[in-house]
Amino acid sequence: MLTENIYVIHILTLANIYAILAMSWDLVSGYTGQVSLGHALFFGGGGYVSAFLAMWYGVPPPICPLISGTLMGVISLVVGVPCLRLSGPYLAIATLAFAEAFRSIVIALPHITRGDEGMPLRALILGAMPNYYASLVLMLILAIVIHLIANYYFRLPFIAVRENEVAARASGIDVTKYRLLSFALSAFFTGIAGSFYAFYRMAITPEELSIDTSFMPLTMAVVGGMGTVTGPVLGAYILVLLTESLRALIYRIRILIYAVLTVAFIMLMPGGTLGALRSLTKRVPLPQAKASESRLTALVGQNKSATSKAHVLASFVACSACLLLLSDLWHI
Amino acid sequence: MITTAVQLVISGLMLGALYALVAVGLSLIFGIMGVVNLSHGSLLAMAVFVTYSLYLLSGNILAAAILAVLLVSIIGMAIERGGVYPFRAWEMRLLVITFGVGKILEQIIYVVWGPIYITNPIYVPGSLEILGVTMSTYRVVLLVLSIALIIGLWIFIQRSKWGKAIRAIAQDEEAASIFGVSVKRVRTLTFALASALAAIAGILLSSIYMFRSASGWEYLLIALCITIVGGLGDMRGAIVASFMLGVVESCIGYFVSPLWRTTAYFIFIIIVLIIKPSGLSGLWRGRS
Repeated sequence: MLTENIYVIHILTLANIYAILAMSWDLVSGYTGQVSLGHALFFGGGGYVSAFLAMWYGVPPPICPLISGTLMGVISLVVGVPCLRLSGPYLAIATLAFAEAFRSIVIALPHITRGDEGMPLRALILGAMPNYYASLVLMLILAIVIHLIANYYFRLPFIAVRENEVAARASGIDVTKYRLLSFALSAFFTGIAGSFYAFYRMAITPEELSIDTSFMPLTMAVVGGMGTVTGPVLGAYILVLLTESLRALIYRIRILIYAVLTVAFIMLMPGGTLGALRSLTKRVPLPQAKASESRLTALVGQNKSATSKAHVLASFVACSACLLLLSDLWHI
Repeated sequence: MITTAVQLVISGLMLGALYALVAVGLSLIFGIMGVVNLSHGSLLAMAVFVTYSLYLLSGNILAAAILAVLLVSIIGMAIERGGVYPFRAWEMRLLVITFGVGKILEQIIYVVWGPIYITNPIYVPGSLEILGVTMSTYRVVLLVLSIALIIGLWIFIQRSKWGKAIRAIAQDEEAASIFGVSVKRVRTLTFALASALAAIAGILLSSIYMFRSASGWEYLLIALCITIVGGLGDMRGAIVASFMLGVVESCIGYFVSPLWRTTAYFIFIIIVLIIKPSGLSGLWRGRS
């Protein structure tokens, strides 16, 4: 039955890809507090690099995502190094400008990039179901990697950098280093997602470099819950399913809905859906209380991390299982 | 050759003067509140589209423009009261909120007016001869009008009571409020003023360039670049940088291609951030 619902499978695949994009955005903006408004650059850029590598230079497609991701990580340093050593809104401004600049370059060089038409790619994985499973596996692997990075290895420095830069510097944390690290890793993961997206759609266009694409991970992370790994995934699933299931009604106003949701959530519920759920169950403190929570973690040791890791894994598996089940029941 | 040079400089100065109107507001808001108002560009685009519709309804372009400027400054005030002031302690949330509001305004334009390109019919016919170079009267009128507005704003900031309050808050918000300045009212006024200036600039720009719903971001980017080159929050730096970048842009548009405009602005941002993050304002602050 599932294989008949190719459209649903397609939507879920997209949700997985956008979940990677949103998690990566959250790694830099939710965890270290530096807002990036140009993740479209790394997403679309990853796609374009893969298109060049695969179609022009004959690089075997399976390694294209890794190369694109690495290249995007390197490119992120071009923006990151001058901006992240300063405190203030410089990263937001520069990323916004860089993404737009790259888009205008792509459109200005039609003989290389085919301009507005975009570039074609040959599919990496054939068939809807294999692609869905590949995207799910990729999403889960990256979620675990990001979880380990952000909630395990660099948990304390990231929180310190986000919550109080001066105090972090005073206690000997190299603020610039950790910001750069999270930004470059975020660009790397986004590049992989963009590359996978391009192979999946079999095309990459300047649309993937636009402000709309930069805005999407921001909305998903804010709606799901910033500063977490599960939050952006939840947000991606909610928003993609919402817009696709009501496509006929709201396709024209979907970005308006995204924007209204973003503003409403960041004003009224900065913890996102996950924060609201958490405050309902009262098990874990709200994200605003992160600083005290980190002290608690330091006291309790690794205990909490281990349980939350299991928790994340379980919720992922449960989440995708539920969605598959639901789509099966819907018979769309 | 000289004719081309003079034409390039004059059209560059005209662009620069219009950009200065946009950038000064952005810089003023940052100087006082430490907020980068990312909805600035969409406010500008909103003014253009409202003017367009009001003109179609009434047939009077001046009345349409004035109403649009008023409406946009009211929207600006609403943004400050509802979205910026209550969240002034969280820098990151402010960035997301102003970006989101900008996106909302852009999408409202897109939903209401659709994916169309518009211009506004403001024009002064005829041509003038300056330094032996023929220029259209309208461009010269635009240049003079924008410079007059900038000088007016400068006098307002330097001489009037409100202007002094604005400068006082920019220096030290707490001290200003102790001396009886109503911080909340001055902030709202600043937002209204900045939005009105952006609206005027947008309406004037829309007589030369085509506008669509997302055009606002382009001008936001230009204004952001100007404020970084001028030094974030420094009005004088923003004005000088506007004229510089206006001339650079008209030269790039002539010698290379207008398509490279955004790229040039980005390169400017990165170079300034690498060499001198305080921008032009660092030059005079460093000396004094």
